[in-house]
Amino acid sequence: MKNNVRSRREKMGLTQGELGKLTGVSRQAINAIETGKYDPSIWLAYALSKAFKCSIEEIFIFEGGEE
Amino acid sequence: MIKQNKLRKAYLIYWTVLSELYGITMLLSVPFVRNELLQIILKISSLAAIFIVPIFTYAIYKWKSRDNASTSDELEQNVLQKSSATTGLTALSLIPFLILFAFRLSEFAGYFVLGYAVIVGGVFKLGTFYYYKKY
Repeated sequence: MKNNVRSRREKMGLTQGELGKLTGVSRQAINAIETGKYDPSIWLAYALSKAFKCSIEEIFIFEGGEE
Repeated sequence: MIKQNKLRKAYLIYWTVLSELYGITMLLSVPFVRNELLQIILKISSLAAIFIVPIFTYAIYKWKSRDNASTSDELEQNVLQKSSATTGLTALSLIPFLILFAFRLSEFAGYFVLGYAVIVGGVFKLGTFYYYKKY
């Protein structure tokens, strides 16, 4: 699953740690999501969408989602 | 905002108590070891575990809390789940060998149990380290 967390975070001028604090997770978790090593839970995806003020689909690109 | 938890503090207490129990158990087993060199090694390592592990565990806890939120987040839970699964699989796979060797060579049963504990504990620690590094 691809995502644009990094570009959205940078656009907002936030560090990974600051975004982590906003969403209630660690800096490492944000880094792992940005590098595509970890797919977040629906709760964290929702928290990220709230932080970025957009929908989950705008942040995460579900590959093979049309199957 | 995801709900905060106190799991990290709970882990700190759990690991400290468990390590102390390991150390005390090893110390209590020392008089029953026949080899003198092994007695000394066991005594030193158990005393070291009793005194050093709590300090070491607390230092890791403080280090993690400084960099991360004080809560244990889902990535950390994911890492712990994976390392626990790896440890469980290793522990279960080694049990037949433990039983066989403990009965077949019963005079060394204590050493086999100690070796088993070291392997299982080591797999958990290395697994946790590996998965943390992976993410």
